[in-house]
This record gives sequence, structure tokens and C-alpha cells, in this order.
Amino acid sequence: MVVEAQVKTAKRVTGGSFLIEDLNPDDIFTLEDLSSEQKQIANLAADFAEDKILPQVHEIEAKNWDVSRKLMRDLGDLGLLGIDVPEQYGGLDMDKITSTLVAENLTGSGSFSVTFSAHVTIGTLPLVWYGTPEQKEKYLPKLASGEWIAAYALSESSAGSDAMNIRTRATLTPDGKHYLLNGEKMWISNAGIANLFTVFAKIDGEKFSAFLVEAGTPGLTVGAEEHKLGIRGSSTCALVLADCKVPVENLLGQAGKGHHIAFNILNVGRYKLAASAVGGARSSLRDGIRYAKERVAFGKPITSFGLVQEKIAESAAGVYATEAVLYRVVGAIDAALAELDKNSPTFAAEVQKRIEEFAVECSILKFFGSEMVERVVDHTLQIHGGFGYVEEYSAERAYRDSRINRIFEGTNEINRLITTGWMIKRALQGTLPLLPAIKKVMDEVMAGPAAKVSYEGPLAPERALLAGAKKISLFCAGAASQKFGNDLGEQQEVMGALADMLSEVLALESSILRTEKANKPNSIAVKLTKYYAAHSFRIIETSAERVLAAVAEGDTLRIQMTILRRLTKHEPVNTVALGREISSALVEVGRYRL
Amino acid sequence: MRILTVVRQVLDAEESVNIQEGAVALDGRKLVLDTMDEYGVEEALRLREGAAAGAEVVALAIGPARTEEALRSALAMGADRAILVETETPLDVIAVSAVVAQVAQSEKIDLIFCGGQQADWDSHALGAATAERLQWPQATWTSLLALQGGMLSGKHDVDGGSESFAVPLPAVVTTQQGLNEPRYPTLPNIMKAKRKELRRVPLTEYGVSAKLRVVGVEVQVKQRRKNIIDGKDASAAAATLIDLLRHDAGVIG
Amino acid sequence: MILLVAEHANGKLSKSTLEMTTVARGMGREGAITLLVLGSNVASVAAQAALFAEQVLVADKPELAQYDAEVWAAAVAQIAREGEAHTILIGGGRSGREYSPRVAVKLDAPLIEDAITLADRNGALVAAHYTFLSRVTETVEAQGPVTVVTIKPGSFPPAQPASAAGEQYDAELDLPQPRLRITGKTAEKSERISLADADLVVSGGRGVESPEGFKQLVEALADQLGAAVGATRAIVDAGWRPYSEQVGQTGKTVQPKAYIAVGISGAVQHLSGMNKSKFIVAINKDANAPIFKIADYGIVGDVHQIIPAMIDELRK
Repeated sequence: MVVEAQVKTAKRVTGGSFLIEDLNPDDIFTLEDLSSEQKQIANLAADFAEDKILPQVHEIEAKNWDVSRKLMRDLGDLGLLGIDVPEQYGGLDMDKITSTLVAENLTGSGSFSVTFSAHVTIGTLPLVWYGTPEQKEKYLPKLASGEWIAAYALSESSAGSDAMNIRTRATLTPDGKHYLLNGEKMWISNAGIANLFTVFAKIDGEKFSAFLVEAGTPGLTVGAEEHKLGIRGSSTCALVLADCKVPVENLLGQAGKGHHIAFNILNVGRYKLAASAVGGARSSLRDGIRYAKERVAFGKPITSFGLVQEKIAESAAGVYATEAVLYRVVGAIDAALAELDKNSPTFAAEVQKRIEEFAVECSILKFFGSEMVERVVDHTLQIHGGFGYVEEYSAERAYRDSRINRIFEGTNEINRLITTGWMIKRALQGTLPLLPAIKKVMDEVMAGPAAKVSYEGPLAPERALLAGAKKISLFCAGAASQKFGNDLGEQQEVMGALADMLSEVLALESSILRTEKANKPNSIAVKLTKYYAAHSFRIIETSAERVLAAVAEGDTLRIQMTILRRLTKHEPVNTVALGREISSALVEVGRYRL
Repeated sequence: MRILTVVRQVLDAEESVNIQEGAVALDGRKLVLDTMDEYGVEEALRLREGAAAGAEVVALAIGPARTEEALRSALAMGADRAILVETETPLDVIAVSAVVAQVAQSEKIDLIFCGGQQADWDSHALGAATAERLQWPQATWTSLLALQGGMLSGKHDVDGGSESFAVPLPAVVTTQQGLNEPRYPTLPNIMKAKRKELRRVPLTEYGVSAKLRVVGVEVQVKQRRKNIIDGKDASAAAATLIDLLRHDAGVIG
Repeated sequence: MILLVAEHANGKLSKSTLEMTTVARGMGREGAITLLVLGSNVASVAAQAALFAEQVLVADKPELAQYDAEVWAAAVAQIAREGEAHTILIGGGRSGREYSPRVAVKLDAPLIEDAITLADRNGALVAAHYTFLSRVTETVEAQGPVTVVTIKPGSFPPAQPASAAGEQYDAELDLPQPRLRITGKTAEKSERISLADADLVVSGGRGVESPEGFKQLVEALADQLGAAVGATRAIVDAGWRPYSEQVGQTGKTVQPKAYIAVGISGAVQHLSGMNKSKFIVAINKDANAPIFKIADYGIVGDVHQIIPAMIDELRK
């Protein structure tokens, strides 16, 4: 039973085009567009998290692996591990929105979310995309059922961000039947409980390749559990490979082409991380609101106080914006994938190519989502006061658990560099008409003040901000390219600031489109969008100033600052009042609820 | 054999209860298939998988259009088809029982399950009222059930304890917690449910008149002191607590 | 006629019957207050009933030795019809709540369930009762000449005997054959005070960690206080305690002066069974536990240390 993706509401757009294309609300997929089945699936994951994961959080944290293993098997029984796996191998072959919903709703334990994601995404997808029929037949059914747990072994102690520099070697045995793997791996999630590892090694020290290695293979040793700051209930160990004997049949994909696997998998891992971040942030916000309603100070519940309301509003706006970006992007990916023929022999390759189109969006989701959830758990901890600092309250654990999100799946620094780097690469290749767009903006702004465009509707001011934001981003990108040319990649701070501008453009636009699509003029969604827009635009302004000051000086800088001031001119919104309204609405319902 | 399971869509246990425009606000809240009714769906499915192999399980709900979601959940658990009798006006349990009885007759039902109680109207009466209309026997608050040769046997709660019983079909059984553990709908079953029959019938098809009307709704909020004490020093905390109970509350001498 | 169905055990009228009598007297309707006594060897019950009602109808037969929903419904409906009762009051215990709907259908009458107030208002009966797992009070109005009402036990004070004894009459009944056959009984037994009667209840949940933990903490504290023992659904399901101790939506509803919740998280289904207690005390190691939202006094801490400390302190 192959299920069609729910794509009727998402327009087929080119990945990366958000900076230069203006979409209509109906063009994007939003959380409000879920089908009845998608909602049921999301509820299934949420109910499972509430009934089965949350009550066992302490056992999970205590590294009671049997609990995690049993939970994985239960998820396998429900079909929740096989969403991306083809039917013939025990999976369900469903759309990416559905798998994103599951990742988002399987909350309760940050540790278990990592166990689940590491298995389902980086653990299983390499096999789905690159496996031979024999390999898939042998391993996928066990992974889909949860009988076996998967792990992904790329990083080494001296090769993290620079993954291409791994030193683990693979040498073919003289009889040509095995590869001997030698080296070590570091920070491998699920290592202590995995049955199957996808291990990256260089054949003869050169050809970057991937291998399927079963636990218990002679020569494979799993190290001791790391004592981590957070996600303590997720198994994280080093691996030592000493003449680890892997049959040649277990080479995954082509020799020397392993980097395709590594990079393509990461795109999916990145948007899934944003999904987990959304789920985690919502839970944290709920805990914060719950505590604030009960905690009395100066004779009133602390929800009465502005500085608490501000935290609730900020957290909620961050969640709303991330949801908007996430479902817009995954919806666009589904739209791109819907065009493909599942029976074509190049299907897997095509899938990855289309996902790669959205590499910029995926990287943005990674750093945007991880930083959003960190702010939320930090606010929640602060709301708890001293009680947020002790183990009895979940706020403490959530705070520690979320920190890893800025580090794994590519550090946020790397992801910012990828965001800007890939945009520029596509611009130069001509795959994205960025250069003409930049030129158009440069010409326009140099020509002097333009006629005011008027927008309509409750988000008219925000639409004006968005239009300005896109121009500013293009303008700054143009200025930076003009100054540094091909060396722009060395200017990491400028790249980072440009990435911030790109991510805020995507977030601001997605929030506006989502709210306009829902079309409820007096709703909390409108307030959240306005609140977020004010925050977002400030970041764009600050980043733009930083970029321009780094690329120009003297008169040029003065002219550019004049242009910037013109493009950023707007009437500020009363975010204090908005924040209070948002907080009040959420406090009444007791959680983040639109 | 054909089994009817009556389901109700109620507020999720997590949701808070607020009154808006003279009724408990349900808009935008999480609504779920009532757990007590879920035991009924699960028991029907178990019978179909065991003693009543080949039976058809039909899920029935009476309520507004959104109640369809609760029926979809029943279908996703494994019910064969569903019927939604649509009405925007809430009905009292005696009126609802008239609809259930008529459906049971037209669908030629042999066994009816419903929850012993539901989490919105808190009524215990639907099963019994329906049984009376059909002139069938009833077993309420059933915590154990078996079927053999047209005879139901099991255990159910009564005042002051429990009893084991035997009752012939056709009958109405209302559920008690412990009857079974309802299955989660698996993903494949959620998707399969999409294609199962869900028939919508307007309430006007049934001659039903309500004799009870709601004239007031109020949330009971008892102000609690919420005096929270840190329990790290167990003896100090215990002493404080006993002191409060003795002097503040006056419940111990 | 205002028809009340008497409940009795061991030759005595139940407290709930006396509570119903208070309702019958105070609801503002005319009509002879009539107690119907169904059972076998119920002469003493009938005599007691006569002290409270204007008339007593007695059906004393071996066929009525064992309660059955269909039999009771038939009996009550027949008497109600013959006596032209406009109001039929039935006790809100398990049996009352399961045969009263049958009576209502037989009489084509509305059913008011578990009433906590009841009064005539311009000829219609108006009552309040709890809904949404006892979180909401709903007021309903019944239409029509006849109304069947179950009365929530413990909501009204028990009536005092009337100044004159009522007349007793034999009731002739056409009784159906019961179809539900009872093949065994398990009665709740305890030396301890019952949940329904206790002023203090000590109740335990998963936080006690084991059946032994329950005994050492909950039972020990209850015995020290002379309290009744309660349990959550979770531990009854786990088999640690009998169902008779379960407090909650599918168990018993209690309203003691103080309810001490030991290691109970506070699921709404449990809360619905005890949230009307006068004082609620909770001890739990999880500060986020919902029970703390409805507690008057709460300790965030280890029940395994705090309860023994409380017991020690009480012994002094």
C-alpha cells in the first residue's frame, strides 16, 4: 500500500529560491493543512510519548537500555520506524511530512528522541537510498521492526566538522572477500545498543566509502559510554576498529562515493532535528506555563508579571516561526519528490538530488531550530527560578539535553557557512538566478528612494518588512561579493551574518504566509507573527550593519548605510502589549495552542 | 455476528475545563475517543479475533460533524465500518439511547458495547437505557468477558464487590477499566481506515425528542491553598505537615 | 405519589435511603412520600421504612432475594404507573444507576443522574449534578409529567423519623425472569473503616513503588490515623491492591475531611473521585505532578522517608 504524499497544497518550488521568489499563502504547506490521517499519526506519536516514553524517563536517563530497546520494538510494531522504508522491506513508504510529524511528536525524553532519530534517519536512510536489493532484504526489515537498532559512524576524534579528513582505513584482503577496517570513531549515537553500523572509511586511505558493519563483527569494539552533559539516556560511545573484517558485500554504495551518502543524509537529519526541536520547545513551554501559573510571588501567580509574560511570548513566537519554516520546507520537498517515479531504477538518486536542492533550507532549519529550542528551555528554566536548577524538575534536564543540538548534525557554525556558501555557489553556477536579482536590487537602491508599495491585510506592515528584508539581504550579499569575490568563503563572520539574514527572511516569510493562509484575522497566530517579525527584523538590521561595516568604509559605507536606513525604516510595533496578549492567551489554555 | 460499539468524543484528560457561552469550550481543544468506550471497541475486536471469528464490528457515534474523528480512531483500531448520526444539539442519554436502539435494530446487531461512563456527561445510563429499549439484558461495569455458544460470561462490578455472571445474547455490555488494554492504531491501520465506510445520517432520520434540557453550567473551582513544602529534610517536612493538619485544617487531634 | 426505592442491607435501611427521604420532603412537590421495599425477609426493613415515609409498599418474596436490574426496573415501573408517581427517586449506587435508566425508558420519562440538588420550579424538576469528571456543575430541567432521579449518596443529610408512622401495604408485582445469571460473588471485606464512611483517607499510587511499599507507607499511616485506605487505578491494575480500594472515575468517589495522597501523580480520572475532599494533602517526588495543583498542602520529597517520619511524629 503505497500512500501518496499530501502535496496538493504545496507548489513545486526550487530549493533556495525563497530569497528571490515571492510565494502566495496557498503555495506552501502549513501545520494547518494536515490531513485527518496525518493528524491521527501525529496523535499516535504524541500518545505513545505520553503513555510510554514519559513515564520511563528516569529509567532511560539511568541508561537502562532494555527500556529503550523495548520502546523501539513497540514503535516498530506500530509502524513508526518504517515510514521512510519501502513496503517490500517492511516499511510504509510514506511522505516526509508524516515522518516529520512523528519526529516532532515523539517527545518526553530528549535522550530517547536521539535514539529514535539516529536509528530512523541516519541509521536507516543510507540503506534505503544506497543499499543493494540483497542488503536491503537482509537488514531493512529488522530495522523497520525495531528488532535491530542502527547507528551511523562517521565522526572521529580528530575529524568532526572536517568529515572528509577521517583516518579510518579499509583495505581489501588478498582473497578479495573482505575489507579490513582499521581506525576509530567517536561520538557514535546508539553505539552501545546498535546491531548495525554504517561506518565510513577510506579504501586505501583515499576512497571515501561506507560499510555496513554488524555488531559483534570480529575487530569491532564498542567503547565505554561517554559521561555527557545531556541526553544521558542516549548511548554515545567510541568505536575501535582493529582489522575489523567486513564482507565485500557490505560495501554500501560505490567505493569512493561515500561522501554522497554522508552529505545527503545530513540534509534529512537537519530538518528532522528542527522537528524534534519544535516538539521539545512546545513541551518546555508547556512546563514553563504550568509552573508560572502555580508559582505565587508578591501575592500573585508569576504569570501576572511582564518579564515572565515576555519569556512566554518570545518562546511561543519562536515555536510558531520554526513550525512555519519546517512545514513549508518539508512540504516543498514532498512536492519535489511527488514528481518522481518510484519504480525508476534511478529513484533513490533522484530523491537525494531533489532533497539536496533544499540543502540551504535544511541547514537553516538546523541552526534556527536548535537555537530556538535553546532559548525556550532557557526561558523555562529561568521561569522556574531555583527550582529550574534542581533535578526534581524536568526544566533542568531539558536545558542540558538541548545543548547538543548546536553541535551534532553539523555544528551551527558549519551550517551557517553551508547556508551562505551554497547560495553563492548556486548563484555562480547559475542554477539560482541570484546574481540578476542582486543586480536588480543594487540598481534599484542606488537609484534613490523608490515609490512606496502598499500591502493589505492585518500583516501589511510585516509584508513591507519582508520586502525590505529580502532587498537588504540581496544588497548585503551583493556588497560582500563585490568586496571579497571568491574569497568570501574565508570571511566566516560575514558569511555567518549573511546566513542569519537568510534564515530570518525564510522565517519571516514562512510565518507571514502561514498566518495569511489560515486567514483568522484576530487570532493568536497574527500576534505571534507580528511579535516574531519585530524580533526578526532587528536581527536583519544588525546583521546587515555588521556586514556593510566589514565590506565597506568611508564614503562607500556612508552611502550604503543611507540605503540601509531607507530600507529598514519602519514604525515599530508595540511588542510589550503584543507579548502580554500572547502570554495571556497561552496561559489561559495552559500551553502553546493556537 | 455483528457487534455495535458506541463511542463518544470527549475532551482529552490533559485539557482544562472552561465555560464559554454557557457550555464547556470544546473549540480548538484536543478531543479524543473516550477511554471507557475504547475498551468496548477493543473488546469487540478481540471477540472478532477469537470467539466470534468473522464478526463485523460497527462503530456508532451520535454527535456533531467533528465526531467523525473519534469514529476514524475506532476504524483505525480495526472496526470494520462506522455510522455517524449527526446532530449539533447535545442530547440527553435517554434520547441518545433511542437512536442507538434503532440503529441496533436496523443493523441487526447481536451485541452492543459502550463505556460504563464517559468523561463529559459522566452518565452511567446509555447501556441500560438502550438495553431496555431493545428488551435485552445488560451487564454493566464489566471487567472480564468471554463468549461461548451464544452465551456471554464474565465478571462485573456491583455495589460492594464484584460478581461473575452469565447472560445470553443478544445483550448490552458496558465496560469497566481492566476489561482489556486498548491497542494503539498502527500506522498501516490508520491509512487503511481512510477507505472504510463511514456513513453519515442526520438525526432527523430517527424520531427522538429530548426531555431534559440544560439550564446552567458552572465550573467548580475550589480554592486550594497550594502550600508546597520542600521535602528534603523528611522529619522537618513531616512535622510541618502534621502541624498544618492539626491546627490549620483541624482534621487530626 | 413520590416514589422512593428503599435500599437495605442486613435488615436495615441504608443511609442513602434516608438521604433520599430528605430530598423527597424538601423538593417542593405534593404527593405521598412512598417507600418501596423490595426483597426477601424484609419485615424489619419495612417497619423501619414506615418511620420515615407516609406509606410503605412491600414486596417480600424469595424471587427478590437477589437484586437484578431487569426485575427491579419492572417492579419500580409497575408501582410507579399504578401509583401515578410523578417523581421516582433511586439511590445513586451502582445498582440504582443501572436500573433507573430502564425505569425511565419504561415510563417514557426523563432521567436525572446523580443529583446533588433537586427542586420543583413551576412544575418542572430542576436538579444540579456533576459532569466532566466532577469538574463542572450542570443544572438540568426535566420536562413531562414523570421524572426518574438518582440521588448522589452523601449529598443530603439523612432524614429524621416522621412524627407518625406510615401505612404498610403489600405490593403485587408481575416480575420477569432474570436473564443475567450470577455464578459467583466476591464481596469487599475489610476490618478497616470503609472509604464511604471515613473522615480521613490515606491513598497510595505508583510512587510507593511496590506492594510492600504500600503496606509500609499507606496502610501504616492509615492505621496510625484511623483512616480508610485508597488506591489509584495504576496500582489496582498492577494487582497490588483490590479494586474495592480504588478511588476515581471508575472506582469510588469520596469526600472525606482530609485526603492524603501518597506517591500519586494526579491523573484527572483519579482527581474526579476525590477533588471534593475538604483538605487535600499530597506527597510526591515529582514537583510537576498534577496533584499539587489541587493540594492544600504538598510536600515535594521522598515518600519513603516522609511517611515514616509522619508516623513517628504521630506516635509521639
